[in-house]
Amino acid sequence: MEAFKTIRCHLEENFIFVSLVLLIGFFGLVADNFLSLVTLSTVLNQLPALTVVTIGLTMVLMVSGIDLSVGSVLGFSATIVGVTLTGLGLPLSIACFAAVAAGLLCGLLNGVLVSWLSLPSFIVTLGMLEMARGLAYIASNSQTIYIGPSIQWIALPLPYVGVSAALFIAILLVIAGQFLLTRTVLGRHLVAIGSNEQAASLSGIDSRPYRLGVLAFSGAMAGLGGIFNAAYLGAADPNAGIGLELSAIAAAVIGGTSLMGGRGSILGAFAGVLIISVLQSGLVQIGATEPTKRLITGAVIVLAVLVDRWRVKERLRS
Amino acid sequence: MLNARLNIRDINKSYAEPVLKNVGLSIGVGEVHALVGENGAGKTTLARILAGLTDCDHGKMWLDGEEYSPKNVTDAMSAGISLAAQEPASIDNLSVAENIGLRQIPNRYGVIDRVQLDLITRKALDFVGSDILDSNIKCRDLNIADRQLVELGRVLADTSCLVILDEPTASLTQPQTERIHKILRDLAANGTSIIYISHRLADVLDVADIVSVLRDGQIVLSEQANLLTTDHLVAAMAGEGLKRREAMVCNQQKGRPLLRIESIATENLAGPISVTGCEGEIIGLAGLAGSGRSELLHAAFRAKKLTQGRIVRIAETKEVELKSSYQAVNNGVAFLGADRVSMSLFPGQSVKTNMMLPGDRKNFTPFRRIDRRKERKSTKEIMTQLDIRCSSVEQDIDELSGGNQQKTILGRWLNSDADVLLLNEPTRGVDTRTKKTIYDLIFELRNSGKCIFVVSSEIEELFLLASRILVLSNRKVVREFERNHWTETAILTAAFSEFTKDFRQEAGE
Repeated sequence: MEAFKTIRCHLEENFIFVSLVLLIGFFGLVADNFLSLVTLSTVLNQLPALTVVTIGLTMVLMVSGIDLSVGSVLGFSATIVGVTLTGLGLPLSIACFAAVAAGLLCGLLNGVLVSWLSLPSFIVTLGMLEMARGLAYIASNSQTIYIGPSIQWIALPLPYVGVSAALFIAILLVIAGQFLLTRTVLGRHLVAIGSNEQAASLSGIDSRPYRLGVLAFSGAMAGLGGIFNAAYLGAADPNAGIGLELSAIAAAVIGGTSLMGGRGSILGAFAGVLIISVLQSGLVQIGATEPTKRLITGAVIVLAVLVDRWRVKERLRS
Repeated sequence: MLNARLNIRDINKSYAEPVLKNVGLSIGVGEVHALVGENGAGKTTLARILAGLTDCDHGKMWLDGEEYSPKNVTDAMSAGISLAAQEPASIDNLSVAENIGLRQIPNRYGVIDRVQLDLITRKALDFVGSDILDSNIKCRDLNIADRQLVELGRVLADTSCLVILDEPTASLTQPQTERIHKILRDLAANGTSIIYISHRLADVLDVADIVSVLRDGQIVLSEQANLLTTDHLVAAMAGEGLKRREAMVCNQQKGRPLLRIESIATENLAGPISVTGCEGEIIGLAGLAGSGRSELLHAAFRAKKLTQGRIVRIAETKEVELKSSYQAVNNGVAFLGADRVSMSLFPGQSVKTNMMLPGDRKNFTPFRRIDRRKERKSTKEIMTQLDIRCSSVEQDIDELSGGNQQKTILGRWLNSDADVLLLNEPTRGVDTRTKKTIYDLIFELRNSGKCIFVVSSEIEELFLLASRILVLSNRKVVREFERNHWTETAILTAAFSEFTKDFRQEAGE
């Protein structure tokens, strides 16, 4: 009985992962080839960019901020990779460094405006969404820059390991992010600022450096996402990442992160990314058309929040 | 003899503790009836019950001979009772006109009739003698006195049979107050009954026909104003001779100084104020609501801007001038806000997180790993010590009762290395049992050599806790009492002193 209770407790705690397994199981039963290597690698290959972007965004959501610019910053960073590699002929390491630096700079600018000038992050990052996309078009002259195998290997499975470098880095970042959020003083302070900024301030926690920090981090993560995107395509597309901010918000929210701040999990956000990817690949496999796919994905996002709300209420009642 | 407009009998109301006990009152037609009493005596609660903002536990009311039991504000308003609240309840983003007409904005098919609205507003503003010229100005751009006039205009310009004014003159100048008093007398002459709640005893005696004194939720005196003096009222409010809790023996030796407040003043605090807090000392800050006692505490924490002076924290080896509240915390000064929900709680987080959050501020390293086992252990210890009732350390703080939440937040400082504690109303809204636990905790902290500042509305609480008491009145520190040298009457007299002064005399000097 006691054991059953513990299991039940764990199932509830890890509700999101249970849903993920159920979802995979469902598609496995319905679609013939879903549980195959091809599908698996398709799903996994799409993951890294969205994953790292979601990690950064979740950190911002923790302090009840938002970063709408991640998609554009990703596009901008991707073109930076293209320009440095193909245009300037510099080595990959420098290109990667430049891409992350570009993302970090965008994030820092967001952060300074939000924390020191007290502007709402929604507006500031909405502005950055436009500006970064503009920069991406300028840098690439609005053309897709072909790069080729010199970068593609990042997104391809490594020999003997079976996992691509990009996915490996993304998973490492998930673990590091989760650790940071739940086990360190810094994570606690983010939670405090997100759940009650005044109380945090009266406890001596100055929210400004944290607000700046999370936005800068989110920018850098979008920069990294730009590298992964370019690697996946083998080209730098200035249109890369359009609408990605919405997928990232959806993934974070599915993973139990509150848009009001103070509540969230990087691991949960990763599960959210997986759920979205599995759902989309699975729906394609069972022959769903693009419109149906969007309809169902949208419904799942709202459903996830509803279920979450219901669970919190249930817990409060018991 | 006047006919009774409002009769109330046996009104009872309890929150954590009884606030009103068998209150009975009779208010005549065209009578100005003042209600006075200490903080927490139940004046505002009574006003809220009459205005339909709160319901009473039991008791009956009759208005003009008919039974009256408002379920909400609309009921009260349609019965002709309106309330001007203590805190002007204006909606910041609406204009003065829209605020005044809010209950019934004149409109044609939903489109606001500007001309009509301006007319109503003008009438209301002229009525109270406001010099606001542009009624389209947003309420957020007004100062507190103008807001109060807007609120009064809104209530008084309406024809009501009973008007309740809670601290109507708190922010007004003397000429404005006189004008309001004249209006009240005119209204009363025309048959409107008025309940006038105020700390300003001189104002009360100036305007009222009858004065009733509330003490601990009971009416202890109801008398014609012309037979009373401010001394009578203070004596009735204090009720000396009643059972008083024996003060705990605390002739603790004062240690070395820990915090020095050096001749400070703020926008709302007339300075210069200087206080030094020492090891093992509890300093009580007494005063009426709005006397500046919270302001002083906030200023000491550097959460309010100083216009002069400085706050110095004296650590073992060096002195640090505190320039921000972050610096204050990092130098071992802790602060408890009066409003638990907005200033202390981290809603949606566990008891453990709420208790452990400020943590060790002196050795702060952001990426340091939290020792979760140690954290659980110390949370559990504090929970046992303070008798905090919850299902586990992981329980959501929102699910706890107010008293347990308060103990959790106070438990923070047991775990921290803060040496100076600034506590604003540490026992607000908790039951008697919890109060006792909190007092024991404060004593324990004092015995361990901390310096504690306590702001409290309950004089008894300060008598019990404090080594000395500073009394504030009307934004000034007026007196300081050492332990064994105070009486309730003396403290109340001091607390009212700046409010009982007759302004007209002052002006004549």
